[in-house]
Amino acid sequence: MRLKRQTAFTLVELAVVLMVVGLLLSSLTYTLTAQTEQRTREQTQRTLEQAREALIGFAITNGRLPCPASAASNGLEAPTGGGDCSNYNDGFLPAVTLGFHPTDAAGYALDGWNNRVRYAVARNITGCTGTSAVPHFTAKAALKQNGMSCLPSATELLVCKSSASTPAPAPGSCGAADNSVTNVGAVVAIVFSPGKNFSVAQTAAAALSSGRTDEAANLDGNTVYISHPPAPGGASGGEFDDQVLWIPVGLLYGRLAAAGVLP
Amino acid sequence: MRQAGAALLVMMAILAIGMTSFMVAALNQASMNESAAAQHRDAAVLAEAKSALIGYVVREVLDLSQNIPGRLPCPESPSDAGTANEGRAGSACSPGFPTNKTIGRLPWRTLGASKLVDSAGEALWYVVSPNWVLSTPNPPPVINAGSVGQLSVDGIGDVVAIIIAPGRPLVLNPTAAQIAQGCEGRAQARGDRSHNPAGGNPDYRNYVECQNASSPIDGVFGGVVAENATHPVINDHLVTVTARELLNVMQGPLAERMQRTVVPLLREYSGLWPDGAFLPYAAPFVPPESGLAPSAHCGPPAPAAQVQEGLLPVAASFGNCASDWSDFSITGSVTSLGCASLAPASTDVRCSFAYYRLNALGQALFGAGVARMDVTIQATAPRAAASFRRPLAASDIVVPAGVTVQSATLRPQTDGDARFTLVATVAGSNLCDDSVLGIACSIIGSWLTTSQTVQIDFPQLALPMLQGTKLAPAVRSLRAPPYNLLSPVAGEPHYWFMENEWYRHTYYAVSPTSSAAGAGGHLTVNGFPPANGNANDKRFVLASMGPPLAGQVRGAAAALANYIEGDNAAASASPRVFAYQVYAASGNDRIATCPFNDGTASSCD
Repeated sequence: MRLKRQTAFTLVELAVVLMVVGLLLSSLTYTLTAQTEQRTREQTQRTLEQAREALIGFAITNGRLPCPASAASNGLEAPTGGGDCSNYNDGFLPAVTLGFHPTDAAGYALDGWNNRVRYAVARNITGCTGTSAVPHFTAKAALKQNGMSCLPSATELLVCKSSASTPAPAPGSCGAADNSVTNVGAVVAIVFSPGKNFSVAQTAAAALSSGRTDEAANLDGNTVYISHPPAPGGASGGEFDDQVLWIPVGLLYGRLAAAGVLP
Repeated sequence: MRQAGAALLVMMAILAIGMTSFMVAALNQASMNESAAAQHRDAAVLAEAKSALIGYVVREVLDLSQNIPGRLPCPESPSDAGTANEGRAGSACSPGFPTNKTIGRLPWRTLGASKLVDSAGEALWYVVSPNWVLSTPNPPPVINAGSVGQLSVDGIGDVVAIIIAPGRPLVLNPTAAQIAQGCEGRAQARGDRSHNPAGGNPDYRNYVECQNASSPIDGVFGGVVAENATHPVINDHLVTVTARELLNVMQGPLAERMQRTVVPLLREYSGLWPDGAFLPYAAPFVPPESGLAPSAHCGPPAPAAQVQEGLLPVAASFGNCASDWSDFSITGSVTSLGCASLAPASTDVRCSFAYYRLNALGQALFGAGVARMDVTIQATAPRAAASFRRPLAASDIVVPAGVTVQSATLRPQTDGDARFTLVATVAGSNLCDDSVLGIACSIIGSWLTTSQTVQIDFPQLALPMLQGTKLAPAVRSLRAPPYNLLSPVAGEPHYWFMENEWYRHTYYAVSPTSSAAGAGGHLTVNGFPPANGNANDKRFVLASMGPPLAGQVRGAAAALANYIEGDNAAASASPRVFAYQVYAASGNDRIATCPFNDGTASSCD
């Protein structure tokens, strides 16, 4: 009996199959990566929401907001005990002071990419009917004495949609009328994550030089912050993946009044 | 013959079936997780929105330029949806759709929040009770501790605001039972994600369902509909704000606003009185629900006993709290010609008397007479110690040439009246003085004396206003003084208090020393913050009584204990002891008082 010639896949066939399998696998990996990233963003969002709750809880028990932690304060507010903060707009969430977990070895709360969660708080006030000693929100006696009629002053914390506005956003104004997310004088504190891409540009200058003007605005230490959905590199304002949350002044006062801390 | 791979095929088939079932199960699990996660997400977002809303309203209580503490913002301005201005509250709203509606998007920008979206990525919706918002051209709402919400959610009333997570659009095809509950067939169409159809407003019926989508909008809302599990017609998630909830949180700021606007005026009023520290007796407490007319808010007429606590006696001098001068007397070496109101009645009162000068014959008989003599005019101001009346001063008295006002004092009496004593000095020559003569000059006769008539005018008590109060400079006000204590106009610091009838919901107590009694000590306020002064030197106390608590039943005939709580309701001690904050299991009174040192030393000294 003559052996029937074995039919086999040709090399070409094999190559095609491998290519298809490869493509499928890579698309799967891509989906996985995207999913992981999405999950990390959601985890960060939860961390920020918890941080905001922790800040309000701290205010209810201590009669004031904590100061942001400085880079060297090991997760404690700077200065400890509040009062006139050392880092109003370039500090971190004081996780140790808040009792916030988890933290890194140095005592700072971390977002999903292991970047430190940042925190800014308003100092100056306006519109008071009583005294108006500052700092207001981070000093227990002043907050109690000045009372709930005080609002953050016009040049305090402000959240805008974009840094690429004409005129450019500056403390007190987002520039163009349609560029503001919050009204002037409506925000007492901001917690935010600098996002995944923080690892490649850790200062405002570095973010600027890589074209991320929106992210640079959040790191530049002034009272104007940018918040919008994530944007890729080519967008106006550059790549953006910061996640920004804030505490409205009414919310803070409302919770303090409901708890009997104020007035 | 050899089988060609059937086993493999069977195995493949089994594997495929297995994997499919696993995937279906996983998908099912995922979808259940998704709906749980969606509910969780909606709950979190709604809670955040509610906190922001209550916080905004509470903070607005202390915005002294706003006249209606507790007023809610309107939904997002109708033309702003989808534009750069989205999230701004409209300036006025009434139930009518499509404009000025009381249902609309949550005005997140006005609240200071971010653009909150529910689990389906939809902006939150917001419904307000029409009696808690501005609605042109209707008169502004009157909001006080007795106000209730006009909305109801799933049968629970007193709701002033509802925030709704609308969820995904549904195609509604309700069953008969669902139709009976207010559902209507509709295919919800939401257009694009910006929801800004050209020239139109988002129609709430494309977002919310069933009771929530009544057209025209009514006051009945809810998230529970029969047969919804098997026949879904509603996917709204709701959170409510009740009037009591809001009013309770407002208590603290409201007391602070009273401290900053009403207390300085009362302090200043007391300073107008000669002894520098008089405040009227209270109007006896009646429940706000009894609707006692403002003109009846004064102490009872003598001889009824006066009370040191109750309600602020805000009645103007008319109606049943009229305070017209009475019991005139003119004493001295004169003949009284009586006192009477000048016409019209709202102007001055005129008292006339005749005095006598010795003529040449008289001088020969009785001597030269005197160069000056005093005449005393007295009158009673009924209820002036139990209402806010303007104390008279010497400068208010109009006297003719040759007569000077020696003193003019209005002295509060413990019976609730006030006694006016005016001493006028008549200067001249050869005046006939009874005490010098030892005989009444008036009966000597015209052959020894000449008589001269004098008219002295002083203001009616009917002047309802308290003029010329100086206000503490720390009180921001849109109007410069003087302020009208009893009937303020818009812009005056205490306009909100009178206009929204908070005086019905404010308990007032005056210390014995500051009342007409003039002695007996001051009030104590337990728990008074040491930073703001002493606890036991309070001249008066204003306690915001707040909304009813569990167990308190209010009504036209309700007792005081249904309004104030704890120490504030225990009227045993004398002088009275109040509690700055009632922290007992139930208690929501908050107090404004004087003296109060807020650091500027201007609120009340």
